[in-house]
Amino acid sequence: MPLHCIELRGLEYRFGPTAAVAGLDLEVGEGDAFGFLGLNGAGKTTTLRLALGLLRPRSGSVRVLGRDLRREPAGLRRIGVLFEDFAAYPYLTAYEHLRLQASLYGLHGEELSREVGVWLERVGLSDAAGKKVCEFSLGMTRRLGIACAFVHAPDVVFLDEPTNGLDPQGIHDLRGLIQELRTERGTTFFISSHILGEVEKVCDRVGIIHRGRLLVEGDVEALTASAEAACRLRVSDGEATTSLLSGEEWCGTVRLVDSSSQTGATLELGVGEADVPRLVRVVSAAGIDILEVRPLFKSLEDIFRETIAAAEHKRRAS
Amino acid sequence: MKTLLHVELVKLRHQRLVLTTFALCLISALILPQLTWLFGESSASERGFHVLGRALELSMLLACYLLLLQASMSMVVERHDRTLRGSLVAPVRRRDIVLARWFALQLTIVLLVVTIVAAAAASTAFHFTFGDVYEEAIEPLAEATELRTHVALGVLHLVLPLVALVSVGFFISVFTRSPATAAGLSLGALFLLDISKSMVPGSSPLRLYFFNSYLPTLFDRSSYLHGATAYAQGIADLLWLPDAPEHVCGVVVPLVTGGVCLLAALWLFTRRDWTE
Repeated sequence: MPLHCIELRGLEYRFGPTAAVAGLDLEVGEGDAFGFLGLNGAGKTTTLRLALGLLRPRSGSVRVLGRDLRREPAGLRRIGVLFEDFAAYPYLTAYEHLRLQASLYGLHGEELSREVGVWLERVGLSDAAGKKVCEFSLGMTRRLGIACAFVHAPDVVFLDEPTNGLDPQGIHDLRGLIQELRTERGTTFFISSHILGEVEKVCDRVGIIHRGRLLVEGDVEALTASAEAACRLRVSDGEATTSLLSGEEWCGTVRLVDSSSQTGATLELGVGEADVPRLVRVVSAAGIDILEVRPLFKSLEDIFRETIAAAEHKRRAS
Repeated sequence: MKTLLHVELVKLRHQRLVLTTFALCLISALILPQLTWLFGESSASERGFHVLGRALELSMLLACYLLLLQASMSMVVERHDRTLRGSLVAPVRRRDIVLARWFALQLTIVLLVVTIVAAAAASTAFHFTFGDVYEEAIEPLAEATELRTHVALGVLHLVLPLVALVSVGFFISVFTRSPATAAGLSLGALFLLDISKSMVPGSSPLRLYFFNSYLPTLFDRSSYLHGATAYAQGIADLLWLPDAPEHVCGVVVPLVTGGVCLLAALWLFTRRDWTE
């Protein structure tokens, strides 16, 4: 297996005059769970289709497990896909559909029957295996889609908005499944989504795409850690605390967020985790009661919104 | 390819349009000989070949419309429902997806024709016999074995246009994006063909060689021998013969049309971008 399971180089695709993907370079390593984030219409699904060979890039190259899947479809045997709008044959039962789909990936005989049974059980559809797909709810159809994506034990799995239509239990189960397959089989995941909370829980690397261009790419931990350290402080006297801390070098920005509350005033401070004991000592020594100290972490959502906003600002300015 | 063909056949077996096509053609093949016996002018019991020929012609005409509709829906419905993507991201060549589906449709034709012929023959045999034709003559005008061959050849001459028609429908199915457009286009093409046929002058060789307009079917000969129909004016005796050169057109034209449509469908399917 090559070091990079997915390699996209200088990828371009246009819908008429509109560039859906513009010069995209991306690498996803073996065993990674890569979150591909973007607004609606940013180019996530187009990139996924380019990677799978459903679209022919105007320029650039695509390699998944070292192959151009458009020219070498045999490489798709090791790849699983769940599309955002997965659809199954409505006139077949879940069992028949999964069996047909698995047979296309080379499964046959006892192995086919065994795997189909295992995956129907795994996604909680074994009781509905004999039911026609047209009678399925959206959530059940998604579960069948998940079974179709995993039934042939793929090495790389592309998931496009995987949590769409799933109930909280289904989302939890899918998260568990992804973590289990990564640990046990070293499966690589490419997850395109705009549910940032889910991506943050599952992925170790993310990329943010906007207007067809990759704006940010990196480890989730590194991205969130690089954000400015901050904490929230609730005290008995907001104004006194503000004037006390404004002159301190170790304390960055001091912002009085709420001073009207009867339960104390709230401040946001540019204080890192290491300086919190010092903060407590200084404020207490000034006779101000500390009601609460809470570290503030920048979430992936904050980073995403800031990145998009900065890109839009830059675009308008230019 | 074998797996894909199996997949296609399993899907066809469950599709309502396919089941409806078989049911309607079966009913037609069973009921037409009975209606001829009850109300027809040629109700003499020895006219089995004539009754069978007419039942086959009408049932095959019904099959022609339904098969065209089915072929024109085959790809576009899956594209529209987004189920086609399941095959496109599977480790199979696009060329094989097209060929497997086309072969599955051709197998449907064969199975449908066998069903129609068996049902029509059984229903005809209920009231009519398939013996030599005398029609008040002392010597037989035609022997049963000869007429049996005519019926078999007549069926074959109808199967080839069905192959071509299904290929045209299949190309439309690959070409279009919505099922409604595909249905409209395929049935519209059939009507257009009929209209253009009537616009071509009778003396034009196009009429004879492309549309086979003046080419009587071999069922016509059985009917003529039974005295059920008269010769149309202007038709040479030679055209009744199965080895007349005009009959070659009846083989070549559908085969060429079918081949061109299949190649066009292959070209389009393997090169297009799948944005759905």
